[in-house]
Amino acid sequence: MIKPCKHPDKNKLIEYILNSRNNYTSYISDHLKECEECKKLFASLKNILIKSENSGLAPSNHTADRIFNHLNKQQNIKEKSRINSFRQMILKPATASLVVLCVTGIFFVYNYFKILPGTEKISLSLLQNNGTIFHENKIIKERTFAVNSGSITTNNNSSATLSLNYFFNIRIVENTELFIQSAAQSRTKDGSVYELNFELKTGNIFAEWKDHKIRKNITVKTKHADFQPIGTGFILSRKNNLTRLAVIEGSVRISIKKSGDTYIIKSGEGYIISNTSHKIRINTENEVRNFNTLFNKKDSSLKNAEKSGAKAQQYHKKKNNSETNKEKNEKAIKNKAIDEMKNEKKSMQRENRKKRKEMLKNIRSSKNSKS
Amino acid sequence: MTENRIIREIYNLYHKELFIYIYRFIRAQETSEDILQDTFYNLIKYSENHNIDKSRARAFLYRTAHNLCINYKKRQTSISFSALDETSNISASDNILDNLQSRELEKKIYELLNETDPVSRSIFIMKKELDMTIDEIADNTGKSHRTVRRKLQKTLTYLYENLRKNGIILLLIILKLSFLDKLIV
Repeated sequence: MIKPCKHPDKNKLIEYILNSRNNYTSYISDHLKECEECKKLFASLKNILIKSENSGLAPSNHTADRIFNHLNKQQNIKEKSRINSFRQMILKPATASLVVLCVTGIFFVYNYFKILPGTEKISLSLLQNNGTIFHENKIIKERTFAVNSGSITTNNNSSATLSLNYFFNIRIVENTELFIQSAAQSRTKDGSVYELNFELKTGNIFAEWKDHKIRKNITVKTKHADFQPIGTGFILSRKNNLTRLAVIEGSVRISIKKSGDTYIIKSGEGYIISNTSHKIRINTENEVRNFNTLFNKKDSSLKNAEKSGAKAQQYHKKKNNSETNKEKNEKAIKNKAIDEMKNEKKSMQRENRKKRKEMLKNIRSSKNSKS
Repeated sequence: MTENRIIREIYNLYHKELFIYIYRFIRAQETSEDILQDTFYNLIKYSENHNIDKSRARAFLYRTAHNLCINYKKRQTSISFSALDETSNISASDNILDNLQSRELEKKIYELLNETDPVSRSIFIMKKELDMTIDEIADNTGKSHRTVRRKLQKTLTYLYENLRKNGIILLLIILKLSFLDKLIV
């Protein structure tokens, strides 16, 4: 227990004034009732904290007005900026979407109606199959080559495929010359049409049109006639003064130049044009098989060589050896012949000498007898 | 974003006590009004990006006002209008002698208070003039409960010691001794 006569510490008294409750609270209140000295200290401390006369203290009305005016002004600015930002938020995407709509609209209209008619050159890809291929008398070194015009020529045992995307192929076999007159895609109001014009000068070709939905206008010309396939595949051969057509699928329209007649030849039929022209019956399977053998034809010795590297080497060695043996034999034969010739010459010379000697003897003996 | 109406309500609720606080800190009517205005401008600016409720607004206002007062004090160290302003706003009392004495005492207290640090000054004004509890002061100043108590104790001791040195403490005792019994808990 703390003795009541003892003066409390000044800090404790301040804490008591600040209304903080602790162990000393009751002690201080009891002590203050009895101790005059502490009472004075308490009074003076308490008086320091007594509220001043503040009743007249207040801000003027102008302050409130200024604050509220400022508040309203800020509110207006906010409203305006909100409207502006809203406008920007709406206007920018609206303009952007309008532009996108216009562009897509123009694109669709262009594609749908094909507003701009015209022709555009297209390239055909020439894929080498076997041997050596020439384009405009120049050897094609690449495996695939893009061509738009000019003549394509194949050598012995060489073949190639001329194709337009995936839907049109012309397979060319050996010793063929095909001239590309034009390759274009023309746009009309009804859609686009592929226009391909070829001239088969010599050899065999197999033309196939795989996608019948795509519109096309193909003409293959020869000396004798023009051939226009109508959704089809056909084999066309030309040799010297003869043109032969074999329709494998669909039908082909022939316009004969000499007479000006036009025929439509269906699949399973063929047509031969030379001095006289007539329709023939063909076996499509045989025709295709024969063409394929021609198309895949290679040099037989090379074929064997391709089977295996070793075999090829052996083949080439044998070939070389046989060549050297042949040469030796030829040389030996030549040498023999030369020797025989020399011997013959020598024997002839001997005989001539003998004859001369006999003649001289005869002449001398006759002279002696006369004398 | 805080509504216009809420800011008006906040103003109506706190402008008086805030003005007393600022006035007791600055001791000049017009400057106190300016600082009060700036304090509310800051609140308006803050409210553009944040939501303010009434309880949070009080602490925000006191802290802003405190900072503005300190800034003002820093700028105005050499010039003081306190003597002129102090007399102008205190209402007349019935007892002229008492009034004069109490005014003298107040003047002395605030002169001494001017020499303390701004935080102690703020805390003391909040306690003395606005009769805030320790918790409220801690909330408004952003200080801990313990710091507020310690600062108050320190300021009170400092004031008491200096007033006693100047002989004013006797005046205090004479003035308020008659009410002493009521003050003792």
